[in-house]
Amino acid sequence: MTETQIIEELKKGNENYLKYLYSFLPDVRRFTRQNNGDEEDAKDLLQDAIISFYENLRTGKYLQNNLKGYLLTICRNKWFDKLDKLKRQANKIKDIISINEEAEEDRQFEFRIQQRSLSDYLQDALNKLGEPCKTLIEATVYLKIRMEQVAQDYGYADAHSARQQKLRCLKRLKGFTSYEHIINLI
Amino acid sequence: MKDIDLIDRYLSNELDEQQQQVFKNRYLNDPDFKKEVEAYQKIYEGVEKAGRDSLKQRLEGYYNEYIDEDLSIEEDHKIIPISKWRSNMLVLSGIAASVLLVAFGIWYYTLKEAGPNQQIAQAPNNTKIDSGGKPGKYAGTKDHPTTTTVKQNPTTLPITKGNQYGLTNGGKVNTVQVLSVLHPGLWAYTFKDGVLSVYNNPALGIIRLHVFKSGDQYNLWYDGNVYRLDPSASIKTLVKTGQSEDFGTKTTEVLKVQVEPLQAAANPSDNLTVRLQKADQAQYFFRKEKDKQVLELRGNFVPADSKVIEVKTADTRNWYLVYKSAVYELNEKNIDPTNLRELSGLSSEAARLFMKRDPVTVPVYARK
Repeated sequence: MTETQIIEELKKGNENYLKYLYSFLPDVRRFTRQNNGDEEDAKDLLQDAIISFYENLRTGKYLQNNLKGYLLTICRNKWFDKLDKLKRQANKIKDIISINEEAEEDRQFEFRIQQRSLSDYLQDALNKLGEPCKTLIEATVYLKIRMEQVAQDYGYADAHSARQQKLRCLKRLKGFTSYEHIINLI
Repeated sequence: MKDIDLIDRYLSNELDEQQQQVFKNRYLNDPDFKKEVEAYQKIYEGVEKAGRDSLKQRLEGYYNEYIDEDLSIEEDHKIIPISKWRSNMLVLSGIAASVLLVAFGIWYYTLKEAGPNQQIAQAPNNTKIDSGGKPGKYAGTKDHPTTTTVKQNPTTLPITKGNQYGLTNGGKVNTVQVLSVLHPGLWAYTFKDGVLSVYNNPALGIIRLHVFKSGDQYNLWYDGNVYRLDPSASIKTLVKTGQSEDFGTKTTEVLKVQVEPLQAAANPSDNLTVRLQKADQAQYFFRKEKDKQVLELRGNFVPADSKVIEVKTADTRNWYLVYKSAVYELNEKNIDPTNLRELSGLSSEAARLFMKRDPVTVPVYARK
């Protein structure tokens, strides 16, 4: 499998070709190992980079021809951002003496109270909505694929009819919830 | 429909300047329209989050496929002699080593150890297993003082099989299997026919685990600790034999590693009686009956596929219902019928403890 083939398949929405991108994991691991991180960090970083890449590719914003360099640059930037954030946090809580106890309490709290998130709610609502709405909304609202492309990929007569279908789906999706309910989800 | 069209164009950034101005005026002067816009804004935000979260979940699957199939990408258009990125990395790592480490390295590691997620993820480290002497005995740590007695047999834990307790007692009332498990518990395993199953550590990071052989003896390496692996069909506690940074070199031999969910090594419990009644609405509540705790469960659950699990920590106890692959939280405080709430594996650490994970093929290393 070559890089060009993989990108062509991914552009068509054959998402499972993303698995090939994990072959860059040894490179990311080498980087995190040299920069205060471990193997788990490397996997998380690459996962985030793959998501950014895939979102950009589907939206038509990926215009490079060096996939590895692109992914590794994202990983590097994300990693240094994270280290910066940790540094700032560390400065903030310097005065707190028993960090361990605080964290333990937080964890217990988290374990007991599970708040239903906006993401969970939408996940369920989209499942309830069913096809073709689920795919259509994910493609247009999440991946922001152009209507012309959507019409072509999912077999609508033209961009206009795909859009009309999208709006009908959105209306139904909103019908599941009330303003008071959704506005309070985080 | 006209409003949705307009709102969608606004949220998709498709309005020109003049249209935007018209939109803004209406937003400020029409409260109903304002609410409509805000609701859609939330929906769009939620769709993006949900889309990203579910992609993340699917990526875990692709990652496992990558591990299983050992995939690689051939270079097809050009050969990059020495990656510019990598040479930059060398410089950057030098800076990182000197500046980052000195400046806040200590704080970073303190934070890392104190991070709220670490407690669950690193469960086995809290349960100290004596290297030679008495496996099964808890050494009290600061986080988890030894206050609970472990009823488990020190070397062989009972395997809970199928639904030996899932008896039907006729009519519409059924009995569901009740299990109890201590978390974090003793890290345990079975090892036979080239399959290593790991129990009581459902959050185990497979990428940090390696199996290596020294002579004929199999060993497990995890985060710098070495544990002995003996062939065993029954569940054995994992015995730590030492520490090492080295797990040797890769051989051609492979093993399957199965990380078992928390309930896999849980013990049957009679702390609770479950009464299941068929109903369209999935609900539950707890009540006392002659000093005995009873869980009344309503819904379309097949008893054989349902398990009620008590998870005990040093000072708390939580109940969960695991039905097929879904996990529901049961709050003991609810004594009136309450709707069952499914926990999502994406946002709930608790739910992830009960999820079945796919087996992963790993290479066996060899060490002199």
